[in-house]
Amino acid sequence: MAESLIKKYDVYGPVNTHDEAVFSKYTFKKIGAGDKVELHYGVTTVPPTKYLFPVREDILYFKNNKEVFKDSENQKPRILFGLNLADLEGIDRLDKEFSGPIQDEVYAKNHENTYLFSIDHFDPEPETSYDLHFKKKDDRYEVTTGSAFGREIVAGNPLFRETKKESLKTFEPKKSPIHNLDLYKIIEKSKDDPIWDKLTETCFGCGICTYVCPVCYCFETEDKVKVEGIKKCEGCRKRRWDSCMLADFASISSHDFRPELRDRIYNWYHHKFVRTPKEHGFVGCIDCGRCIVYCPARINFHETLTYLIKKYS
Amino acid sequence: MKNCKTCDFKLKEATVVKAESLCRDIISLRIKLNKGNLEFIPGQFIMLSLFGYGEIPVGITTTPDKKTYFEVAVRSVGTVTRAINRLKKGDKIGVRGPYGNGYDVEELHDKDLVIISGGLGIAPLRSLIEYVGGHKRKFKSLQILYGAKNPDEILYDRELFACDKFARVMLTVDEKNGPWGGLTGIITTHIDKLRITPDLKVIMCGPPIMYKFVIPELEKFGIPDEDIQILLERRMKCGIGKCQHCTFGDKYVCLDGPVFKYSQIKDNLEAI
Repeated sequence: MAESLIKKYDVYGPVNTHDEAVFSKYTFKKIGAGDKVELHYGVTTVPPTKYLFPVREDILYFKNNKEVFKDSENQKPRILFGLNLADLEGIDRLDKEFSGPIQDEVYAKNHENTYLFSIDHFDPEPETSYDLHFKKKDDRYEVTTGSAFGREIVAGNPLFRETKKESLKTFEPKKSPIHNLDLYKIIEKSKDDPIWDKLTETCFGCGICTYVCPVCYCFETEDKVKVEGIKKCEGCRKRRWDSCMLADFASISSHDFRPELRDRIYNWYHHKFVRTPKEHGFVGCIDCGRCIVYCPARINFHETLTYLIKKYS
Repeated sequence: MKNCKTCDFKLKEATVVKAESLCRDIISLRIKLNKGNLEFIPGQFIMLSLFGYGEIPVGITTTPDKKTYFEVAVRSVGTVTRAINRLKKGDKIGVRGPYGNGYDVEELHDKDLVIISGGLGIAPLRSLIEYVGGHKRKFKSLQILYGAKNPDEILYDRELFACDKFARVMLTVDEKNGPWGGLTGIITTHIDKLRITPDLKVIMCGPPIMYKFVIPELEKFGIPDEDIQILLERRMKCGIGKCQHCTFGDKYVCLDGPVFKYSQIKDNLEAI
């Protein structure tokens, strides 16, 4: 399937790097002929949202003190192939964070030509937006279409055969503290709790929890230039991932508004479980566990939330 | 992903039509868009771009009534602002915005306005002062209490003295370093010189430390928290509620502010 797609589209999917030195040997990469897509990848280190909100990207170009507009090269449409439902949900949440109340056009453009193909072994169809969804059934896949593009792929393709839709029982969601409905009130109440001091003792403030998070998106911008003589400069403005955990994140020339790591840790929880729910109606977390796995200080946000829920409910 | 308001980070081309040093390290730029005029309300800010250096958020310092141009004041501190301080008449820059809520001027109509500012905090408030000056009949009265380190660092002093015709202006300096006819001492020591009336609206902008000391003084006079408005300054990279640099609690300074009522932010220690 993937092979037939790579002729027409740029296909990105999870592959096995066989690198045992990292926690997850799977990674999303551009699929070429001969690459084997791993449909059981579990969790990659960097989430596939990297294709929509890359580590670094150009947001504008300038030459001789004037903005220049490059025609977007005729890029092939992209397909993110083999996404699991957690990663699909991450993309959906990031979509919403970048849309309201003012839509970020740079992100929207990245998404415009990107199509999402997901695979799962239980759920007949995802709850979030997708183009094509595959559900493993015995030795075959049951396919549902979620968009005109998805239907177009399936239509007239000999690989697919129409069947009746089976109704499947839905599965109970995993029990996780992030689903506690009062969580935002609890976090708001806990601002002075000693847990934040305790976390400050162990946390390095390295920001890895934000870099591996599919729903984290804070950024910094910077100009890069090639200088050719006085006043003749050519370059671009880039935006790159930033992290609210790093010192100076909220500082200006005369003042640092969040100088203490303790407050930056609290802000991380507050953003995910208070600010985002208030803004968009969902938590800024899909419970993928990346931040737990990659934290060098072994901080587990589940433990923090469970403690807070117990104390403040 | 549909939304009526969008931002693609593209810039409006603009030209510096006047560059004037306000004091040792602060420059005032008069800017004209190459195409059309910038429509804004007092208290809003723009993102100012200098290609090759970067982009900074900066408050507009002139009244919207000027229409064909606007001004900003920038202190030279970092890479971008140092380069901005070297700009000359005729230089090209990029502008995005305006962003932020700005002042709800209708709410200020028929009120006794008190403007309290410290240092460069006067810059964004100058937009409102000029606006009030242009629409005197709509406002009951205006008092300005403005403090700076020394007489050299009093910005827009000539204009402020000219405001005397319609406003009561009190300028104070922490230390005299030359001839000075105004007050001395920090702002807090002069709060009692303000005329406190029941129809008061206090408008403030200054360094965070100023709020810490001025607000308790205002509270002593029984001024309610809703009637104190504060214009906040923050690090910003987008202006559209994405980059997360300007947040405190559940508020975005770029979207919900930069003008806040004290009652909105008093419970958040990070705000000021």
